[in-house]
Amino acid sequence: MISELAGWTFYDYIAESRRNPFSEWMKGVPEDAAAFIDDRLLKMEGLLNWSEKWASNYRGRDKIIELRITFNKVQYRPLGMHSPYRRHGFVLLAGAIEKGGKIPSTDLDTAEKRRDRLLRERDCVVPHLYEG
Amino acid sequence: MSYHIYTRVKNIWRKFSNPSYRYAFVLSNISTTVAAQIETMRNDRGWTQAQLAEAAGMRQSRISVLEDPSNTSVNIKTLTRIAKACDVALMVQFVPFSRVARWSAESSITGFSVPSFSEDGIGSSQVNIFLDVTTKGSRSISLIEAKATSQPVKQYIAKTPGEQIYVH
Repeated sequence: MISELAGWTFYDYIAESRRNPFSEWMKGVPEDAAAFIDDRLLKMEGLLNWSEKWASNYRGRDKIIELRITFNKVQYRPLGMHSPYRRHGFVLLAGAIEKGGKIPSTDLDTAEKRRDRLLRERDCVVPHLYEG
Repeated sequence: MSYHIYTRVKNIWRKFSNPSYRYAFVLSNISTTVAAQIETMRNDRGWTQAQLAEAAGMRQSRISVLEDPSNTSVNIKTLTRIAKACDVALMVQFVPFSRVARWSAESSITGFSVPSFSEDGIGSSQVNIFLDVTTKGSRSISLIEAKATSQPVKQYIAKTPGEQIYVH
């Protein structure tokens, strides 16, 4: 019997300049917080479904999905979207930190612009390999 | 170990050279593994949080907290009650860091299901073979459930398209 696993694969958005903005954001995160984010992404790849404690659509910007990671009372929020081209693929568009219960609108705007480009250009992603 | 898993373990392991990173990673691994396993075991059994809570003799709100991957407060006594309710074992042990790195990376493939005793068995005749295939950047993972006739566990990477792989 062959059955497909429901595991997910994360991808990084690649800018037109060939920069990897999520990887760059990760390099600016404290090392212990980066460990929490790495481990969380690895576990999410093995989960069948993501409950709201793992990820949810951002209220008011429903096309953007926030991953909810708390470390040392800081709310880290990788932002992304389900891949329109790859089943069980999730594209990391940007990283943000929630303050006062909200993600800065500039970060959400950036994520939405990248989402729009990804919908036009399918090849602006690379597999997320936990390098950053 | 597939190329993807190998690359992940290698990259995570490189970061483990930083003590802050590795200690935080281990702390996160406890929380996320507990949350993912409890939620997966509950869903596998078709239970609601309330049903698992009743079986474990605790409140539903406690199950909700345990299924929160950000919850870093777990105790062995509580986990033992969850294990008994799901009829699975709980194993707590000190391990080298490399094992945590591998477990975390491999769980992205193997998932978090744990069979109950009635579906378990030493020398179980069933083996799981994972096909991790990447074609033009698109990755798919399939699970082949097969009957084991021996114990070899081997990694094999196909070198040419269409190559047939025989599993003995």
